[in-house]
Amino acid sequence: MPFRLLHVSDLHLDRAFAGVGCFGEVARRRREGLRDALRRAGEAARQTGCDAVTIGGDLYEHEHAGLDTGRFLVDLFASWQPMRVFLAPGNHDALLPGSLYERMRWPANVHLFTGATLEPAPLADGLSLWGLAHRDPAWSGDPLEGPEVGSGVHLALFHGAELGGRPPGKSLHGPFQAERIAGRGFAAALCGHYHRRRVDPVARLLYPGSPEPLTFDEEGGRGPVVVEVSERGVVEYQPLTLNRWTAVQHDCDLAGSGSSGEAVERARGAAREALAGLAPERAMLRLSLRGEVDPDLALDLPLVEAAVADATGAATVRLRDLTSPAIDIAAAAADRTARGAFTRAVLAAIDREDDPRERALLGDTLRYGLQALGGGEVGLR
Amino acid sequence: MRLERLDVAGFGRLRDLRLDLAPRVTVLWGANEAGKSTVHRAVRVALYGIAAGGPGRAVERSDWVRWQPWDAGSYGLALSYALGDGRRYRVARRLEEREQVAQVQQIGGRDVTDRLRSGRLVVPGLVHLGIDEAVFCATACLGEDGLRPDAPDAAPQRADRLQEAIQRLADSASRATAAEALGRLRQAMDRVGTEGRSRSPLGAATARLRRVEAELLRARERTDSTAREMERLATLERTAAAAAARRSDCEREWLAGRLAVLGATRRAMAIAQEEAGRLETLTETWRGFATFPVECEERVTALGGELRQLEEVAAEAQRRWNDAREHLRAAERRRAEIATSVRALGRAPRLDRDDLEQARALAAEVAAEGAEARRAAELRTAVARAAGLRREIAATGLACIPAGDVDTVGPLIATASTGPQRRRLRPLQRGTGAVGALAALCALATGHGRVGGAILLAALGVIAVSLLVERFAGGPAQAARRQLSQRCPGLDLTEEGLRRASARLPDLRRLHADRQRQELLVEAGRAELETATARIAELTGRCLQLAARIPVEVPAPGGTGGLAAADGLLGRARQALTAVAAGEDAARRRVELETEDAQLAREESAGRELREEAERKAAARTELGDELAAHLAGAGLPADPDSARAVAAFRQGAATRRQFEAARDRLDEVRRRLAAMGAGDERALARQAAQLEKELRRRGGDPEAAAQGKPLDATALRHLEIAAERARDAAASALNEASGLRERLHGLLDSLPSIADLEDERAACMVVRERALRQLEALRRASALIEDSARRVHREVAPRLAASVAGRLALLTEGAYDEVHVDPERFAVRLHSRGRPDLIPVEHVSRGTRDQVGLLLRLALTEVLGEAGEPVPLLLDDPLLSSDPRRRRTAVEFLLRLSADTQVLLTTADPAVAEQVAASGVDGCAAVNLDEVTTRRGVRIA
Repeated sequence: MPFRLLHVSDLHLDRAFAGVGCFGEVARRRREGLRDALRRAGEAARQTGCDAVTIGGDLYEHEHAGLDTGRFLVDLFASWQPMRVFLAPGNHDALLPGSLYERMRWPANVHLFTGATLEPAPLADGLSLWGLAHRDPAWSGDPLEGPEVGSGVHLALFHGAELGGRPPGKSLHGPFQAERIAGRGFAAALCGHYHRRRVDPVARLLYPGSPEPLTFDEEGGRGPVVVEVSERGVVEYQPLTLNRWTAVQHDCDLAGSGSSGEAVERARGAAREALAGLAPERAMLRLSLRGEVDPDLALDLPLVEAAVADATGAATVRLRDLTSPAIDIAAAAADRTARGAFTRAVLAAIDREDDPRERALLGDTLRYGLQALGGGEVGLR
Repeated sequence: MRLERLDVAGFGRLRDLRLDLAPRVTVLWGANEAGKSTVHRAVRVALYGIAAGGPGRAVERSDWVRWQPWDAGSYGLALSYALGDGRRYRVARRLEEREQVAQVQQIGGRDVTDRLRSGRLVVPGLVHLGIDEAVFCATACLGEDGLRPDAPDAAPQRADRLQEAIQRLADSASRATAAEALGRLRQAMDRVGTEGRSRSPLGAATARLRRVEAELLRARERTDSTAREMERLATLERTAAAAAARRSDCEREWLAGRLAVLGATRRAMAIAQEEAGRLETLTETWRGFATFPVECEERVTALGGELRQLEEVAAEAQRRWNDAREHLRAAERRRAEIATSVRALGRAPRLDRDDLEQARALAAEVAAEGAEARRAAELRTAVARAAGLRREIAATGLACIPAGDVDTVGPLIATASTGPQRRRLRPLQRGTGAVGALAALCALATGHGRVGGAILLAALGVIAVSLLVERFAGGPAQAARRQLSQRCPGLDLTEEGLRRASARLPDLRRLHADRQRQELLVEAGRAELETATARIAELTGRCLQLAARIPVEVPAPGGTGGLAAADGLLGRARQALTAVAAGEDAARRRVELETEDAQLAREESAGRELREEAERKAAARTELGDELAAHLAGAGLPADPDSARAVAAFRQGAATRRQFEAARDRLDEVRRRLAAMGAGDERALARQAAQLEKELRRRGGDPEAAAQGKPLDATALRHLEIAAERARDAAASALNEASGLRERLHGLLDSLPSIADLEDERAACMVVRERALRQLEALRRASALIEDSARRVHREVAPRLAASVAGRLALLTEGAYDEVHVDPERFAVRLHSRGRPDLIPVEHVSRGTRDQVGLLLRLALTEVLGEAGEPVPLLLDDPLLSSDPRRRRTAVEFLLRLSADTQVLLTTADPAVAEQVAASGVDGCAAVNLDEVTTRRGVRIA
């Protein structure tokens, strides 16, 4: 029964990277990089002698995936033969009418789980792989619901959110408790959904993480994990680090910057420091601009991003303007002029507002208003 | 607030300055660069602190750096002031470090520094005056043009500038008016643009977004369309595959069907050839029957049938005659016997019905009397038992005991059995004898002969006495014996006899009881038995009478008497009745014999008829046999006495002729069929089968199984050919269409735009657009809020400004202007003069009045915008620098009057101003030459 497989998830092929500041050619490079990640995963599986590759959902993004991606997957999986490929659709690649899963004719070595509850597929004598498919992008059922699976060694493959280790703000698709893995009799749960790698032999839980960082906060080791099931049903994990792209977050203090030129220079310096030792052409950098700045300082963020990208050669540079104008808001609110009334009105509105976006908008309102009432030019952010 | 003293350790060009300020007007005069403006700035610093750079502001360009002492000595100052309620404070600031140290001490009280903080800064001016530094600068700190803001301009412009200055103060403490702020916001909005302006960032982003969305929509449509085409291609391929499979199935089925037909043909041909050979042999064999008279078969068959039937009938008639012949003989013998028996029964009595009924009634009565006869027998048994019991009583040996004394004799026997007295004394006699003998022997042994003799004698005496007692004293046993001998003479009174009598007494008692009971039975039945005997005798008589009347013979009676007579009588009656019954039986037997004889007579008649019938049937059979023999001879068949076998032979011959004809016809048909199957060209058939097998094998079929399968007819084969042709056409059509579609799809797939690329571009456009929209929204909100805030502040401030200015203006102009109106929209000021009914716009009044109104408006604003209600001191920095002497005097006079409630610190380079103040005679005024004051040294700040 000894069996070795390679588990990967959250490829997010055809993902749009505009959200992280990647456009045009860079975005296309990033998407091609995701395909490369899958190719490398298959190559690693072949080199490590794996019998199968399991993909725990979010293989592609249904909204953006084109037929070309379908052809790519079909050809790639066919080239992996005789390795078997097990697919468990997730929330981004749900098994919907018109999805690639339905449109493409998959090669014989591909097994697509289609049931809404875990269904078994034999891997070897005494070893089964149970999988399910998200048939609805908003599915929030418990993937581990059901009775014990019985004798033999059983692995589970699904896309779900383990509630104990849920990252803040992560969406809740297929929520489950890690204790249920052993409770249902599974030797391991090969999961997808969380983009950070989590190898937890005690809880029998494996999240390989997205093979390439998709957002700026996806730092750290990631990529496929080789899973080996021994004769006696003992499961061992061997994480591989195959990512080519890196995500970097860094702060840049603009306090005391008297001009936009000075601010740009500081941003360049901070970016060079953040990217030291990395391949900038495959790096995604997010600089958070912080500090109190001259209220009259007008920063054009796209220009600064372009300047920093030019200076560092980084594939993606994204700036977050977290600076605050050096205005004594309290003093402004205290005076009895129209400026004071305006300041008080905006602050009161901010106090009443719970929506962070709306609060940010009111912050801009205050900033612009005070700049205008201060007699200077209104610097847009 | 009234400023009292300013101490400067070092601040700009000032060093070690102590300046005492007059309560009303202090004129600080000196040459240019004497430090007059620095004093004003020092007062501001004391009240509000000094900016030392920091977030967003470079330190080196900060006021802290700018106002560092020129001589690089200590850097600090202190200011003492009093509030309207009499409290006095001293604020001291050490400014050497960027992080300044400030301390506020209530004079005569404690440190109040912390109470005067706003954030990290110590700002007594903000707390005690209620206005921030900006408002303070804008309202209380006036430079040269503070009193005449627009000197070079014409009156309307000057008024506008005044309004604008007031607006600026009211809106933002002199930084900008709300209108200017709104203008800047509008400019910013213009920079953002609108969705409709394609050259603006927002417009460009929106237009681009729409374009990208349209492209995206088209791309999705193309993708969907291509996917549908792919599905269609898959459908076509499936259709082609299904059609090909169907065609292959049809062809395979057709080949199998053809092979089955060929196989069947070959098998049928072999069978037909074999059949033809067999038929030829048969026709040769049967050729002799070709002329057999098959036309006579029907008659011969009928003859055979009739003959067989007639033979059976004749045989049956003969058999019946044979059977009847024996029976007829037996009947004749039996009839002779019956005649003899009837003759023998000729003397039997004849019984009528009454006799029979009487006989049955008497038989019933005799049966009933049988119980009485049994009773008599029981009585005789009881007599015999009583005699037996008496013999048993005698055998007990206790017959001497009367039956009535049995119960009383029992106790006497028990008493008598107790025995005589001597039995109780015998142990005493024996013991005494033994002891005496022993004692005497002992005495003799010891040599006491006399004593031994005495002892022996004494023992003998005791024994003798006991013997006497035994002899004469008998007891109750003896008495009982005596009574027994009297009552039961002959009873054995020995001990053994008594013991036996005692043992047998219960049996004796029982025997006596049984005997008495038997005797009682005999006594009671005797009379009843006598009555029954009489009745039986009468019954016997009646029986005998009946027997005599019939008559039948009754046997003679036996001699019995006494109690046995009843049984005898009954026996006699039974004999009579038995004789009657025998008579009855004889009569019945005679009737039976006569009936049987009549039956036998009828049977004799029937037997004779059978003999005649047998003879007729035999004649008819002979006639038919002759005719059959003639037919056989005509057919050439030998004569056969067995008509059935002869007919069978004739019919066999006829059948053989028909078989011959049928075989001949069948042979012709088989020969025709063989000709139709192509007999003679088997090679062609084999070649065809081989070809079909090869084709079938090529299509995955099994020729062996097909050859054994069900052959298909031509219609079915034709249908299969049509179906295969259609499937071939369908597959070709689908393949053709799929081929074209596949080529087109290659082109389509290669030219499909990347949805992800477009999504990225769309997202980028949306980012820009949303950012612009967010900016626009924030700018719009800021505009709306500023406009609203300004309107509210203006509406609130304008009447208060008007009231404040009106009060002071009336005082300063000695009532020339008693009312002021301030427009809340634009702060346009109009005055009411006593001499005019209408309001005069401020630009129409004299220049001096206009300047006064301007100054009063600033003071009013400090009151309105300040929260503390504390009068704000006026810091005038050479405001009359460029004024002509007349106007300067007028202004100084105005300030002197104003100082009644507003402290004035006036710096000037013009000594005349100082002189005019000094000469005014107004108390609380002072003129200080700054050049002189700065020569002093040693000012301590903290």
